[in-house]
Parts: sequence; C-alpha cells; structure tokens
Amino acid sequence: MTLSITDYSKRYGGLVAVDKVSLTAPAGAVTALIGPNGAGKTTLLNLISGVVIADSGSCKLLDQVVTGRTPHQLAHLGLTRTYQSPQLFDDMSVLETVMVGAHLRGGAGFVSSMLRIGRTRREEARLEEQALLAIDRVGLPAALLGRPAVDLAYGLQRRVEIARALAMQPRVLLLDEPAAGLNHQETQELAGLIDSLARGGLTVLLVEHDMDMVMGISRHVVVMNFGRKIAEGTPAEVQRNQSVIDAYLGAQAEEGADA
Amino acid sequence: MKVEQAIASSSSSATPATAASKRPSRVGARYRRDVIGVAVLAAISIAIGLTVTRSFYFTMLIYSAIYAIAALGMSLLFGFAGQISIGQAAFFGVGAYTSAYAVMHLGMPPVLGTVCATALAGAFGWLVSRPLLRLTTNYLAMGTLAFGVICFILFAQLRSITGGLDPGIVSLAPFSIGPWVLDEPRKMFWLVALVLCLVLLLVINLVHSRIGRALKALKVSEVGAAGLGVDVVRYKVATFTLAAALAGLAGSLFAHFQSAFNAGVFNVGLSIELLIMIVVGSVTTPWGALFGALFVTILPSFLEDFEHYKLLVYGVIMTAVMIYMPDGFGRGLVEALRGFYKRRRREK
Amino acid sequence: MSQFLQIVLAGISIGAIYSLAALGFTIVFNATKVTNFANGEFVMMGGLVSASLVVNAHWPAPLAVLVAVVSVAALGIALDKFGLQQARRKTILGYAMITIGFSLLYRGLMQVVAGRDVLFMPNFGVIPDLRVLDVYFSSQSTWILVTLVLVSGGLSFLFLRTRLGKAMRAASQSPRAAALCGIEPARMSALAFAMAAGAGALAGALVAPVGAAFYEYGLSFGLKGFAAAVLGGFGSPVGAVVGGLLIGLLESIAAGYLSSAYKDAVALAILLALLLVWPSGLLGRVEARRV
Repeated sequence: MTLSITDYSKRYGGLVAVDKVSLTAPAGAVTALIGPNGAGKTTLLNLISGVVIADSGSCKLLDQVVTGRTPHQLAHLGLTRTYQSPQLFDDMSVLETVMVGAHLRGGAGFVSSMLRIGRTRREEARLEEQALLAIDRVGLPAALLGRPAVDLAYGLQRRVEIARALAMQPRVLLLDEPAAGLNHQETQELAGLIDSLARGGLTVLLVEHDMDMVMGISRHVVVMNFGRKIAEGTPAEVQRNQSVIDAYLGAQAEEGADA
Repeated sequence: MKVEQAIASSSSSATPATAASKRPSRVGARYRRDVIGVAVLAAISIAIGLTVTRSFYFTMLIYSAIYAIAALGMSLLFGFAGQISIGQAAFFGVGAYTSAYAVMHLGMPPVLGTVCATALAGAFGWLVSRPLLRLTTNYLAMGTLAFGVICFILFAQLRSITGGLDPGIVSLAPFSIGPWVLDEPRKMFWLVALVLCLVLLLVINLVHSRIGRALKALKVSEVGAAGLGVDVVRYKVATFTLAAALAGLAGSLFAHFQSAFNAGVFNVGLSIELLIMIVVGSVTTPWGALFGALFVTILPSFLEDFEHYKLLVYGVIMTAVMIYMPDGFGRGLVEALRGFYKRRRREK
Repeated sequence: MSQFLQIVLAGISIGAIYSLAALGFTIVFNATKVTNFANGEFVMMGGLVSASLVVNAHWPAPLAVLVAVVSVAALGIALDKFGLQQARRKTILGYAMITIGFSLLYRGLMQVVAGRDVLFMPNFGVIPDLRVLDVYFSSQSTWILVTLVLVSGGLSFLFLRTRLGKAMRAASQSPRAAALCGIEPARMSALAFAMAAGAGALAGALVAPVGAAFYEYGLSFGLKGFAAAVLGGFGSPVGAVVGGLLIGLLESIAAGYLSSAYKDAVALAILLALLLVWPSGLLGRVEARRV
C-alpha cells in the first residue's frame, strides 16, 4: 500500500520542525529518510504516525486521505511504527509482548473476556499462533518466548518490537532508527530482515543514521535538513549529491557563522 | 542474498518458534496457574467455613474479602491500566447507600438490591470516567481526589437519603437469599467468600486475555498502544467503570454486614486505604489485592492502640514501598526471594 | 454593602492562605516538575506545631511560629532528600505516589506528636483591629495580608534579582546544563522544598488563630491550594497568588450568600471544572495534548 505525503508542515512556536515535505513510499520496497541530527526526521515520522498533528499538508494511504488520523485509526488502516527506544512492557514475556501486536486480529471485549467463553478461548489460541509466526519471521529462537522482554539484549529487543509490529499484519511499517545501539553484525542481520520484509510486499519507511545499512537495502532515499527535503533519489544518486554532502559535512561551519 | 542468510543464521541454531506451538500454549500455562489458585482459595474458604468457630475470625475475613473485592477493581485500574484514582470511596458509598435505599425504602430483596448497587455504581463511574480520564497522572490523581471529597460532602449533606453523618443508615436488614437469612458472621462468610472467588476468576480471565495485555500496554505507553490498534479511551473508561462497579458491589455487601453506618466511612481515608492495599500487596497481579486487603484489615489487631498510629504506619509503609519497591511490597518480596535463590544455586 | 465588603475581606484573608499554599505547589513544580501531594500537610503542620507550642508548652507566639516554620522546612527537605531523591523508579507516577505516602506519614506523625485535639491559638496581636469605612479589619486578617505581600515580594525578588534565584531557575529548566555551571540540581530542589514548606508553614501558623489547627486539615489546604495554583495557571507564581485570592473570594461569597454547608465543595468543584475544561488557567501556558 503506497504511502504518500504532500507538503507536511509543523512548527513549534518559532521553530519550523518540518517545512513542506513531500515523499512517496511504495509497497514492496524500503524508502529511507536520512539527514543530520535535528533535521526533522522524527517529527515527520510523528506526523505520519499520528502522534503529532500537522499544521498543514496531507497524507494518503493508497488513495485514502488519512491526514490527522489518530494512531489508533491508522493502526486499523494498517499503519504502525516502532520507536527509537524500545517501548517494551515490564512484566510481559516476549510472547505476550508480541501478542499485543496481534490485538487487532481479535475482537473479544471486556465481558466476553471475563467470562472466557469458547469463542474467546479459540481466539486466544489463534492470537498466540500469529504471534509465534511473527516471532519466527524476525528470527527469534523459541527459547526466548517465556523470557521477560526487557531482559533481552538490545538487538533482540529491537527484533521483539518488530515482531510485535508484524503481528498486526500491517501494510505500512515505519521504523525509527532501528539500528541505533546495535553492533555491526546485529545491524547486518537487521538489514537483512528489513529487506526481506519489504520484498514480502510491506511498505517500509526507514529513518536511520547507519549509512551502510540505508544504502544497502533502500530503493529510494529522501534527505532532510533543517526541516526541508533537500534531495531524493536512488542511494547512488543521493550519495553523489553535493547538497547532501554539504549538509552532513560542510554546512555546520556556515551554520556557526549565521548564528 | 543477505536475506536468507540472516534468517537462516538466527533460526538454524535454535528451534523456530512455530515448532514450539505444537506444545500446549505457554500463555495458557500462566493462566492455568492462576485458575488453580482460585480453586485453592475456594477450597481454603470451604475449610475455614466448616472448621472455624469464633465469630471474630469470620468478621475479620469478611471485611478482608469485602475490601478485596473493591481492591481488585483498583488493581485493574491502577495496576494494569495505570490510572490512579483516589476517589474509589465514592463508589463504595454509592453501592452501600443504593442497597440501603433499595431494601429499606423500595422493599427490594437484598440480591436485587446488590445488583442495582453494583450497576448504579458502575454507571456513575462510567459517567465521570470520560471527562476524568482525559487528565494525565498528577491531574488525574488530584481530580479523583477532589471528586471523592465532593461525593463525601454530598453523602454527609443529603441527609434525607443517606442519613448524613449522624445517624446515618441504621439497622439495614442482613443479607438474605430467599429464605436464607445471613444474620451471623459465619453465614455471611459463605456468601462473601463465594462472591470473592467469582470476582477473582472474572478478573483473572480478563487479565489473561487480549484486553488484559492491551491494558498493560497502555500503562507503559498510551501512544504506543494506540499505534498497535488499542482503543485507549474506550479501555480506560471500561476499566474505570468496572472498578467503580466492583467498589459498589463491595459497598453493598459492607452495608448489609455492618447494618449501621454513616457517611464518615466513605472519606478519603478509605480511598487511600484501598490504594495502600494494592501497593502493599502487589501492583502487577490481582493476588496482590487479596494479600493487601488481608494485611490492611488484620494489621490493627497486631498493634495495640492502632488507631492512634494508623496513619503513621500507613505513611511509612506506603512511602517505603513506593520508593524501594514501586511494583508493590508483595512483588518486591518475590523478586528478593528469587534473587536470593538464584544466588544460592550459583554458589552450589 | 458593608456586609458584602466584609465577605470580600474574609474571602481575601483566607484566600491569602490559599495563595501561600499555591505558591508551595508552584515553587516545587517549577524546580522539580513534581506535583507535591504533601504540600497541604506543610500548611497543617505549621499551624499545628505553632499552636501546640503556644497552647501546650506556653511558648511565646513569635518563637513558636519561627520554630514551626524552620522545622516544617526541614521536613520539606527530608521529603526531597529521603523520598524523591531515593526513588528507584523515576516516573511521574512514582514521584506522585511517594509524595502521597509522605502526606500520610506527616499526617500520622502530627497525630502522634501533637495529638488529636483541635487546637485554637490566640491571635498574634500587636496589630490592632481596624475599622475602615464600616469594614472591620481583624488583627489577624491584617497579619495574613501583610505576610502575603511580604512573602510574594520576597520570593519575586529572590527569583528575579538574586544569583540564587537565577540558579534555581536554571536548574529547573535544564538540570544538566546547570550542573555544568556548578549548580547542584539536588541542592536546588531541596531548597525549593524548603521554601515551599516554609511558606506553607507560615500560612498554617497565620490561619491557626482563625481556623484552628488539626491534623486532618492538610487535605483541605492541599486541594484548595492546588485549585488556586491551577486557576491562576499552574507554574505561574503570580497566578498562584491571584488564584488563591480568587478561590478564597468565591468560597466566601458562596458561604455568605448560598450555603455554608457546601462551602468546602466550592473550591473542589472549581478545581474539577478547571481540570476538565480549562487546565491552563488564567496565566498558564496551554498544554499540548498528544493524540
């Protein structure tokens, strides 16, 4: 399902965090969003995922306008995201955590859950199945199923988060710096996973700082700086683009002079 | 391609998760443990009911069970959904006064009166929950506190319905189911134990369900949970309503058992005691509500002149637990024991 | 007309007490981002300790009030150092629960130490009762109003003009940056608690001759002080003072013209209404609500 944003803008008081940014992320591919710290990438991600309301601009999933929808509504439409720091639940095992992701796959309400009628029991079994499938998909071994999710190594926690998102069976997945804090091998494994997810038909929007990872698996790269889109294209094109190079290296000196 | 390599490298060395699904459900195992716990509780209750003779013990257990019912609601609201409410005494009072009014003025049989009390308390909870639950932690705490005090003032002032602070409700008939009149503590014990076991089972069912997981998720991060499709507002309101209903049920049983009471019972102190119960027990499991209720109810009998030191003791306990064991004393104790056994095993 | 003015004056007098309580919330919140649920107990303790010393131990009032303010300030510091600073889980909920625990603890402490009697302290004296144009300014009212002016003035001078005040503001805005400049955030927060507790204790001592002192009064001062802070705009010291006076005024008018039985409910109803409809209050900044 194609995700397209047109002229999204957001300002906080005097600061323009996102300035008329447009991008399109097609299904079956990884679209990367990169830029120096403070470029507005996370804010843009917050706008797309409904956490923050945009001042202007619009967003569409396939052809449906979803501007201003809440995260809950977006989840129903098949869009979900992960966060920079894993939002894992203190008291829950890996399996239970991923089962939360499968929430929308079930329909039992308070009363039917309390009474635990037959239909609810069968649904529970089904949700557990789907969680196990998602856990398999990200390559987590069965030995970890019962461990508290917060006890795992950072790289594995990231996988749990992705598994949880996958359990929702989303069409669009937003990843917010999933490789942060991972070592080289973990990053490579993660890259492989994300690549295979995209090939499976998922629309992936990846915000990331690790350039090797980004350039290795992305079909299309969008570069932001100071809230604006300054370049976009294939990884090769973007790496050669002078304004991109300036943004990461040279622009700092200019910024110092202007301020 | 890197893809296949990545998946193969991580899962070839260990059993893939789906193979594990051939075994009985893991999540189901924890649920079964809790259900067995309820069965054990029921068995213990039956044993107590048949062997104990002193009324005093029954009285203590009845109050413990009544508060446990209300505390279970708090456990769901605070422990699972993470919503702090220091105004539950209001719903306890609504339940108590509704039962009193229904039986004494409308001539209803007590069972029907209790059903009405539970429903009315729940409805009242639903009504106030929507506006209140939009507030964030500190404001929610203050808001529910203010709400509880306003209700207390109303209980004290609306003397035509409640009897106010003096004389209050006098001589409400004991609970009766058809021909069985529960006019002794021993007899009331059977009913209260039964109700507690039923409520506990319902709560455990809820905790080990899709809803229970969703509540735990929204406690950690409402935005994160919403992003996974959880209808945060609806679930918070439903949990608050349920907690209010349970408090009302407890209030109704309290009214019948005590037979005479006044508005002074439903003050902030009661709300805070309910909070202390789950804090002392364990915030993260329904069993904590039971242990906490028992602890707080029987504590006075261990300290002479307890009334005088009650607040100080509660204050010290609550402060210490909240600083050092934020998940509750019960949980802190379990963790400490677990750590102790792990170290001993390692030394061997 | 003079009856109305009398009601207004009574309202402003008690309102001044609420203002001081509200300042307690504001100072602590600005320094630590914590809402101190035990703030009302500071007011209660100030009144109870000074009343106890005067009535039971026959101390002279000025000494009793001084000792009360200092000891309650010490208890405020204790809350910060032994409570909040020690917290294992540093979340908003965790801190709130700790301050709730302390409110019980201090209430219980007072119950044990000062007993369960309602104590009436004699007026401070010195300032005479005044009659201005048919309006009766009681001695104690004058004390209260004068103290409010002095405390407000003193605090604003402190925060705006002195180095210490600026250090506190720096520490609250960015603890790490302040630490790099040699300011210890822990000391600043302890200081904030000391000031809030001291101001609250002073308020309690001022109102003890008028409204009596009793260990259960903390809840009332706490809720009404909080209502005042929210009404004025939570986080704004000027708002705290204005909010307190307004709440006192509205409470007095309701008691005078409507019903005194529901007097206490007025401030609470205002608080609830504010929280639900207008949480930013008069001078506060609007909170951005996340989806």
